[in-house]
Amino acid sequence: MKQRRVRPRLLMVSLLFLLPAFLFYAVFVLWPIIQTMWYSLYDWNGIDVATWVGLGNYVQIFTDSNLYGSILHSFFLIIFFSIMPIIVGLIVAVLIKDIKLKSVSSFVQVCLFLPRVIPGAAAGVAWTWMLADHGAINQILRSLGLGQFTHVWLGEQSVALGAVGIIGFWLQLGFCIVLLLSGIGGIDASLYEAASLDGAGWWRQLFAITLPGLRGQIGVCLTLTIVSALASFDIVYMSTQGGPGTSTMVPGVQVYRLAFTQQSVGLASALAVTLMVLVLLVVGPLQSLVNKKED
Amino acid sequence: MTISRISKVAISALSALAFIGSVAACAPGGTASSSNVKSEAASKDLGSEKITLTLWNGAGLKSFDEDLIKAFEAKYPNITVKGTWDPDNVSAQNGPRVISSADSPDVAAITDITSAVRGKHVISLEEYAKLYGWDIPESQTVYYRASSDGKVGAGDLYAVPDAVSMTGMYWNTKVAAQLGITEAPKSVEELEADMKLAKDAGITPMIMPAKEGGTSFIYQALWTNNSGKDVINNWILQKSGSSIDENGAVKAAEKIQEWAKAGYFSSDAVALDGTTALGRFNKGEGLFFPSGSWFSSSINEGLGADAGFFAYPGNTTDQAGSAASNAVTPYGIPANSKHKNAAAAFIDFTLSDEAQQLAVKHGYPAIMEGAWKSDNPVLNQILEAESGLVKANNTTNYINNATAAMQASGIIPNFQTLIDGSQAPAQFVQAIQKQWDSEVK
Repeated sequence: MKQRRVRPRLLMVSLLFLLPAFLFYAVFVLWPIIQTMWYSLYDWNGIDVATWVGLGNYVQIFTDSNLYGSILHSFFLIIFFSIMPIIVGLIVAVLIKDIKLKSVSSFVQVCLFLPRVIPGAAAGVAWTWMLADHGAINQILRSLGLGQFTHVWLGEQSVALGAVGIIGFWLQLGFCIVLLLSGIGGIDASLYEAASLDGAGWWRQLFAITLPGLRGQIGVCLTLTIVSALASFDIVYMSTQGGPGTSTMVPGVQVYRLAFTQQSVGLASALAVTLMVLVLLVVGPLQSLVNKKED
Repeated sequence: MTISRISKVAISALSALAFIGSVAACAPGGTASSSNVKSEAASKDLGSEKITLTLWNGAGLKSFDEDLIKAFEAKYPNITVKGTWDPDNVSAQNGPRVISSADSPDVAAITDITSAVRGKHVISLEEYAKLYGWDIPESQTVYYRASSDGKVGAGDLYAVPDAVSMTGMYWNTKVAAQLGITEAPKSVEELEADMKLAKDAGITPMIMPAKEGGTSFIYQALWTNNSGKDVINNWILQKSGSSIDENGAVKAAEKIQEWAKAGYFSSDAVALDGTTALGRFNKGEGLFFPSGSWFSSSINEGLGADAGFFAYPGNTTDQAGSAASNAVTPYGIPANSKHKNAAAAFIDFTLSDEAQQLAVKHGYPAIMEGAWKSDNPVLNQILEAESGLVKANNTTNYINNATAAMQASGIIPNFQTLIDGSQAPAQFVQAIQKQWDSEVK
């Protein structure tokens, strides 16, 4: 891209046009973030005068296993919120593409997209019932003669985080499918024809044509689902509240609990800031990786 | 420009701004509050001027409060009470903010006495107590007395309980009869024998909502049996040197874990919430349900004549039973209240015979002595158990309220790991004590 010199007058005018939007952005996005950073340096109960503690809250986050543990849990959730929906979504999207009947393929798309329309909190409640001891999941397992694999899914530390992850997978899958499908629609059909003539099979086409063609869409899917994994709140809050023990605690719920129950606004802010930095550190490089060739 | 570059720029810019902000501005908080409140001398005389009194409480108490308000307005025709009720799951979190705001209500539930007194957001009620001659049982006001720096347990009175909430054991007498159990257990040993009978018959011995910390009620009773109520109350009142890391508390935790291992609790206890647990008990799916007076109406509706209630028994038949008990609503007067005398008149009214009978009518044991009767037979059993416990003077406050986050960060997660066996009883009490230490200053 060639650098073009912008005339100063034009620059002023364009900045003026930007001003209203920037003001909103500054007041409703930047200022709260700055305030959170500011609070994170204090020991504050949210009401009375705060005491300056410097980086003390951050030290606590990285030394208290309950606090950094919640961050590790949210990274584990990436497998369920992000990687699994994208892989499954890709396969399903390619299969849907091959459906010849338009009405059937739209029906399938609507069905798979439905979970996305349901709020996470509502999904959390519904799944709590399904994952209960006598819930749908265990009933299905028992009727298939797989009774030895039943669990109190949200009540056992070994499986609870995975069970919460499954709820996330269910919520994210539809979104990934729809986005990937739209990407597939944009790939030139003649490429597939040419590949078929050259004798490339289904898998070969997937890896040689579909995957490279979907680079941008996969990037968007990854970004949004990773953010929702790291910043998850509603599903965990409704289904386990972080339990059993602290086995499903995630930063979103922890921040809420610290700020509003324990009245440790400073510590909660520090955890929120840490989370924000981590999200940027993960999503930033990912973006540059995905967009590299298109620059 | 890639997002990564944008984010780098954004991070550095934001950190710079934050730094400037932190240097330029003073510490957060402490700037709000203190509206123009005219001071008025404590008086019973409310004059004849029209007064609108504002009240704040949790939504679960709305219908009781509305009856109180109606009766109060009939007695004081020049006063209109305007109530606001916050959803119960957020009222504890909103409480401190509500009473400290510049336009605070005139009379409000004081959800956290410590921070309210320390921040001077509520006024001392001593003058009004003398003026009206309040004579409330000491065991029920001790949690609402505090020194000026917010140490609860002694000092001025800052809130007045309007009625009592009390823990105890519900049981299904029909299921019990099928098992050959004819009377309520009078000792922990008898309770265990009954649970074994139920277990052997394939009935859930004790419905246990441990997703929300429901194990703490029966645990607290066991701890009281082992260590005596003063140890527990001192710990709840944050007396320095108090600790749950002591023999009796460990023994109580061992008992809970033993019961969990024996299969006496709901199989999915750790994932079971209170509402679902209540539903199961009302469907007849269990023998015992450790809970409290707040469920008396629902259980009366659900089980009718089959429902029973008894106080948690002592370790042996000659040891007195115990209960955790505190206020349904501890009403106090925020420092920014504009009508303090009228607010005090309302608090005084909640202690009147008329108001106390209203409490019983709504399913809450009365705080003042009297021959209260209810048409809810379950509540009558609770009232009977309560008067026995008041005589034996063996009630404590709730361990769940020992600190602001004790329930969420101490009780709930640690009872879950005690029940699923991943945490030993000795570590359990240490973990709870760690939470206490982190919040008690």
